[in-house]
Amino acid sequence: MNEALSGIPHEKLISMYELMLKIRLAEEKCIELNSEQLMRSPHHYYIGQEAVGVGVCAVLDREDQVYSSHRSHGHYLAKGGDLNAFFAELYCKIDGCAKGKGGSMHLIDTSVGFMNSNGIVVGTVPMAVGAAFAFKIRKKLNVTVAFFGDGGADQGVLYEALNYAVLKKLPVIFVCENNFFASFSHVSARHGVQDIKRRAEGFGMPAVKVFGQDILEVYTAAQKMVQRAKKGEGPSFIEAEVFRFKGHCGTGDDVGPGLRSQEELEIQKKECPISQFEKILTNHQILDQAIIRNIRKRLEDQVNQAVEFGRNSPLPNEEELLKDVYA
Amino acid sequence: MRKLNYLDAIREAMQQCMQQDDSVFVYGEGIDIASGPFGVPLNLAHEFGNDRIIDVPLSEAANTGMGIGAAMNGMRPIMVHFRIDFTLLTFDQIINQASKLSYSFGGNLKCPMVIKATVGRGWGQGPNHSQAFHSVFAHFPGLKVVLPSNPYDAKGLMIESIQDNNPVIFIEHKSLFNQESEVPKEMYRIPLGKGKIVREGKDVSIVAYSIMVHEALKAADELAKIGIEAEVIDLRTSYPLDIDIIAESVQKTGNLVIADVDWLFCGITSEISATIAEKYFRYLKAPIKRIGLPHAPHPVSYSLENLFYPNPETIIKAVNELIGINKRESANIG
Repeated sequence: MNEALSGIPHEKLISMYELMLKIRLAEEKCIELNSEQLMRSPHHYYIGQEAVGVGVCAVLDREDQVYSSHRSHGHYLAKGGDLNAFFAELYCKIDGCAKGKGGSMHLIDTSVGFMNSNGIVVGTVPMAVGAAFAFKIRKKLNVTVAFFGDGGADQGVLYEALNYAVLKKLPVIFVCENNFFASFSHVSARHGVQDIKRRAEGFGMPAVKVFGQDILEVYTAAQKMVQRAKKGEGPSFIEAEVFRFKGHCGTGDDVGPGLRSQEELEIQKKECPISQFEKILTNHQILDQAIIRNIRKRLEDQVNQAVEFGRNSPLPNEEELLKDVYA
Repeated sequence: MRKLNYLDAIREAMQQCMQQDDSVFVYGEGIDIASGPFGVPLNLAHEFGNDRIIDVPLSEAANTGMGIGAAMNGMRPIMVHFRIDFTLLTFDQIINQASKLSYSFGGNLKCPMVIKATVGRGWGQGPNHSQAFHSVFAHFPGLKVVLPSNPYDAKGLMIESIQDNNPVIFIEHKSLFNQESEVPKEMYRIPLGKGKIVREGKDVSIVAYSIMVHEALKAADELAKIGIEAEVIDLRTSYPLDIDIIAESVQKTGNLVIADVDWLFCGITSEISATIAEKYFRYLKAPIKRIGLPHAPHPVSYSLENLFYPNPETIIKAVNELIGINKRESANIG
């Protein structure tokens, strides 16, 4: 881990820490305000998994593209998606990134290459392949990243997409965030062989399994994969084992529905990607408590301002109802 | 003027669009070889190479999503299916993704993509090779659906479909492949959502799609012999639906027969009937007649096929029933 740390500039490390914290604070704010019932679309929280989105996006350029899933908040913010437009969208307002028409599962910010998020598991993965195809045709040296979960690994279209990416040597990084649950169904109830990485290897692409609570491990793997893709060496696959601290959807956790015990969840929460990374950065004297307090204060202010922006933005009017059906 | 058949007209449309715009590419299973899907992309691979005429695996769902991803990034993909039946494997991508891309992302994305597929009929093509889904696709906001009946329209509608900024389902009919008509060499566009009167008449309006336009014209020839002048309208697209051209015709004739290549139940004929009845009931002298397929899968045996598919006689019978009713009603009123 220290070796990996030594390779990354300090500003980069701090910005990765900040981004994880920003995602965490934004989502905790959603949970805090949930009882108002003003943010009305299904939220799938990323809390606990922040290291994956941030670690991968940290190696991407602005023009590299990300295709996300229903658990999209973290990916959107990690790629640099606008925070005001995020809250305005969650508040179903006209200044939202999708004008209030998409909600939590249809976040978008094309200006930073965050291209799609979606209510259909693996629905966006073939698009990431198609975008990579367009890059290749246009001779653009960019990559696309497709994020999906272990539930996505159950879908046939994923394997069609993997095959095509290998066949055409396309610059795609497939990132499977294995949090062990597809909605409420444990991976042991769904997979004959519990090794998603091996499936990708079978298609002929390099695949690596990382501990997704460790942002440096994610970053290092992603950096390698992105570099080879940009050299024209084709697609690759990262399986990141992660813990979701919340449940499939909404503000509850997995203890309530009986998917995990309180004890198990508490053990997993000790692997919080943010506090673990904070420890590493303070141990290396990159951060100290004063800086951390400043960062937190600044991010809390940003989140509060974005919440205000979202609250104050108008709702879409009648004119919007039939607008944008056709381009 | 030069004549072309239906397939050559479609091929020429794609070829000219590709020559004009390097964002256009064509992909589908086995399409880069001369004997590809019904020979349509024949020779294009020689001209454009395998980066733009692309053979793909039998992975219809991912292939569709790939087209969407490319379309979101400034390309204009044309996806080719051998049979429209195979599009059912892609409904998640077409319906959940492509059709909603613009709206659900607040106008931030667009999907200029053509999905071209063939409807079969007869010769035992049976339950998985004969279906027509223009009614189903028309149901979903965000899609446009085209079904040309002749080479001239096929070229103009294909060029328009490629240049449209939305996902367009372009449906060929296998029975039309050898049809010939005059087709200009230069590029021209036919707007989507505009029907065409292909024969004028005053007694009954027959609106039809695809191969049924030709069946309606044959029926109209026969009807003329017994003094009934049928107006035949080729609707050309199931979405947008040119309800105005139907309403104007029915205002003149008072009688409406709708002839489709699809099942009747919940088909486009139901939609047309409902709209005319809701908005233009006053024009109608008699109940609307619908002609289409009975509620069964497409059979293989030719004895059953003959019963399954409507033909000019079916249309003539429907018109005679309508006109008969009118005559009785006129007599009663008189």
